[in-house]
Amino acid sequence: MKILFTLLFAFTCLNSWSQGHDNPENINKNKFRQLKQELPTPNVYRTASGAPGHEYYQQQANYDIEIEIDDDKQTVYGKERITYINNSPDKLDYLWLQLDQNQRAPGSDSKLIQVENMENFSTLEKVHSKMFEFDGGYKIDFIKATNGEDMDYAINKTMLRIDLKEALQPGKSISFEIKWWYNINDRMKIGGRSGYEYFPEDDNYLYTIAQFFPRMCVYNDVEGWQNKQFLGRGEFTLPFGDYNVEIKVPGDHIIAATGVLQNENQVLSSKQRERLAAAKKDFSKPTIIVTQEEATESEKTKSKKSKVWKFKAENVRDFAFASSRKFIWDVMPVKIEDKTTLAMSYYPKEGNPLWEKYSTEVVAHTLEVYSDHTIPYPYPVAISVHAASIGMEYPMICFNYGRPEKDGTYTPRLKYGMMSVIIHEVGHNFFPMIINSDERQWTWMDEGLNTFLQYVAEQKWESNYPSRRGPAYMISDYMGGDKEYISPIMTNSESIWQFGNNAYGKPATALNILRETIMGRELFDYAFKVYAERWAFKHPTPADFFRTMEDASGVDLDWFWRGWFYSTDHVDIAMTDVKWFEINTEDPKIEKKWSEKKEQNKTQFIGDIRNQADTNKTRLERKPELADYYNKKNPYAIESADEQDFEKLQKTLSQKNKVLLNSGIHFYELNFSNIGGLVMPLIIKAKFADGTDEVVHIPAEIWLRNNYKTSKVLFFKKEVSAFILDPFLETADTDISNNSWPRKVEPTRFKIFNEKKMKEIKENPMQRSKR
Amino acid sequence: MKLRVILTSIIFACSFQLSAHEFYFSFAEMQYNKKSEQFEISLVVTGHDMEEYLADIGVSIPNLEQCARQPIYLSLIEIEINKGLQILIKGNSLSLDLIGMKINDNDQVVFFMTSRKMQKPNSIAIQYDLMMDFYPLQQNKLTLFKPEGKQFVTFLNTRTKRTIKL
Repeated sequence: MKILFTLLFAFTCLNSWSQGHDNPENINKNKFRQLKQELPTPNVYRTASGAPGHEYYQQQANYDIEIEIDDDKQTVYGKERITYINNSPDKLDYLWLQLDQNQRAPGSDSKLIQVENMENFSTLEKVHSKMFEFDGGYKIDFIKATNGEDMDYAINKTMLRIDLKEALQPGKSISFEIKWWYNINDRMKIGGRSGYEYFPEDDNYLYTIAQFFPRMCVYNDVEGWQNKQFLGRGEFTLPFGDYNVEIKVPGDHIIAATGVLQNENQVLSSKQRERLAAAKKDFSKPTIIVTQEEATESEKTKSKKSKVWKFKAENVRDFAFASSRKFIWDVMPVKIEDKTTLAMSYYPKEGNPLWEKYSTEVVAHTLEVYSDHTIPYPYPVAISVHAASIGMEYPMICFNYGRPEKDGTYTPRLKYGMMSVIIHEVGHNFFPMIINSDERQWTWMDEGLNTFLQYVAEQKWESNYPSRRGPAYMISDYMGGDKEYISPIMTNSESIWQFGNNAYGKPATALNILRETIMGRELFDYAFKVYAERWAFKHPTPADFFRTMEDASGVDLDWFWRGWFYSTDHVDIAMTDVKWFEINTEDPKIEKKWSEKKEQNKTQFIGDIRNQADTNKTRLERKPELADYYNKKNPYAIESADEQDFEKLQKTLSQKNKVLLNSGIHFYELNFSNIGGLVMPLIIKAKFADGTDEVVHIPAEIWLRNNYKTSKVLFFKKEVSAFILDPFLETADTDISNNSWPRKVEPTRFKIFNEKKMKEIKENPMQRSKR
Repeated sequence: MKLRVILTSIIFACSFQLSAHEFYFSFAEMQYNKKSEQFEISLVVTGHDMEEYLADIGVSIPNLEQCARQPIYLSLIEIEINKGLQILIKGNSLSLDLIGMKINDNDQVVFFMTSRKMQKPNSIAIQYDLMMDFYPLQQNKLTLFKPEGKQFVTFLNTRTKRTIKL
């Protein structure tokens, strides 16, 4: 019996202890708790400060590639020799390569996993696009070792594994050759980042060719072999390496490519070479190398000969090119620190007049601004290629939309859209081409950081540039949406709801808020630059970014990463009420007068008003003899006892306290409620009765203990007529109707529209001016 | 029962299947104006999303700027907005007139609409599935301005209709 009791007692104690630990209510959910569980443990490869560790390593893959474009069949043929250098401490039994073009192979997962309903099959074109009609997958002719022997390999959808006869040892390299070809997709019908556009008016093609050759996957300390299939959305990451690429195309084609052209003499006319030489000396404006007239002439003559263009690129993570006889080409050198880069644009006549005026200037501007905020642009060229309807980036080269009307006019929407996409895609040279994060895992690490700097560059291009993303108020509608269909930023690329808002807009806004509101420009810019410098030409992860930003700035931002990157909370902080207090001076001359005034101004009860209006006198009025001391006393009259009490008090007060009592300070107790869940600083504007104002910044740490309710007492020498929370719209507050005291009615967009009597239905202003 | 699928061949502008800059959101604000006895609505979309959507469903218009002063195009847009944002009172759809359009340089387009004059109903049903059949990820959000404050209502592909007390 005694034993049973003891066991029962022990069980009960154990049970209550374990309940205490298992109960989710008892777990620390404070929004300021450190990111200990979420971040990987620091090690010799990646430090706790966010820097590469003393044993950090990365692989290298060098390529010698020969390409041929068949302009009649729209097919690309390639042969490549890859030299793979194993810098890791591990021996590798096999190698993994990416076969991105297999996304267009019959039966590819990209199509199979698309969620569909019959609305997606409502036109013949849609049915065609849904059927597996086009085969754009790789045809691998062979994979051979350098001794000519076939190598064993296996294709797993968009990935290829080469099985090595002998493991590749640490510090050793291996070379092998792959021969392949595939059909180029019609980008305008099938879609895609790469492909061709056909121009029926002149029967010509414009090729933008990328992700086109079997490419080595990244092998690193974080993932081992990068082995996520290419499904179409999450882009890629690749090891750095050197490229020698020869591209055979029709003789009148002009090629834009990653790297530096090695054989100008063989592929450019003497006139073009002269212009290029002159262009390299003129830093003031773009110089045309191939004119519109020359390109238009080539469109008509269609050379039957072919030429081989040779390019060399060092320390890049990929190679892409564009080729067409329709290309106009302009060049402008840009000096960044002690290095000169050629900013260049390639575009068909359909891109003009917009492209010749802006593209290269925008490329140069982007290099300058991004270099200021990260590292000096290290590559010899930066190219913008005109490609209808897309924006896509590769090292040193990107494909951008922006096609004016046929009459040469364009809307401001198109102009700014084109400039923004060029800034964005050229900006990708920094994130992720140089600061080489894994896009297939974390889209935000390149898109978000790049969109943030895109906003900075846009605002440095032109005052009040119509940016689409960046300012806090632009993301609030999204963040206040239905949480069921919003993902945290820290979500894998393929699983993200609302890709654009999630991976571009929200992280860009978050960084803007860090820069403008939480850290300040100086601290933020320094830390951001440190991150870029630490991880240039390396492979950073989210933890490296989070840790570096804290390490270099001395600001604990765990709460910010937790709220903005790991949760779907939004900002909705309400100013729930404001209480006004003044110091009681105890001076009867002041206080009695103040009380009298207050009594006079108080709101009267309806019964009192009616009783006063009643002609029937009260009993006391009818019988004044009933009145005593209290009825006769004027409560606002100063009695000698009042003065004596005040004098007595004065004697007990220090001079400092006397000054404080007579200061006339107004105290305001402001109460706040965190409705949205995201803790943010409180930025409060006090508007004074005399028309002046003052802004008070309270750090987010005011929510440290209670994450949902807080209060603050502000005091001023002047009377406040209104308080406004987040007066400059810098916190992404989703509901600003609860941000003011006294409450302010927020006008609807419609009301503003009506008040301004806008007649905004407008045509293209350039066309209008010609009417 | 077999359903017959009617397919039409429509020449439309290129599809933007892999455009790197997806938006897929529209935001509407709605208020019943006691003075004018009308519902007043503003609806924000991304310009190129709307243009691609209209092209995809076979509504042939030039770009939005070129629709200006061309009633035939504006009425096509009005029809599509009326399909995508429906106010239902006792099961009947309330027709909305497109009275203005503001095209911002950052590609944000605002449509302004009013309903006919009517007594303020006690409750309405809103079907707000604009562009959802083309963009499966499209989310639409309505902000209703009521005397007591704002009400936010979100519409998703899986939940396109909501009933709201006014």
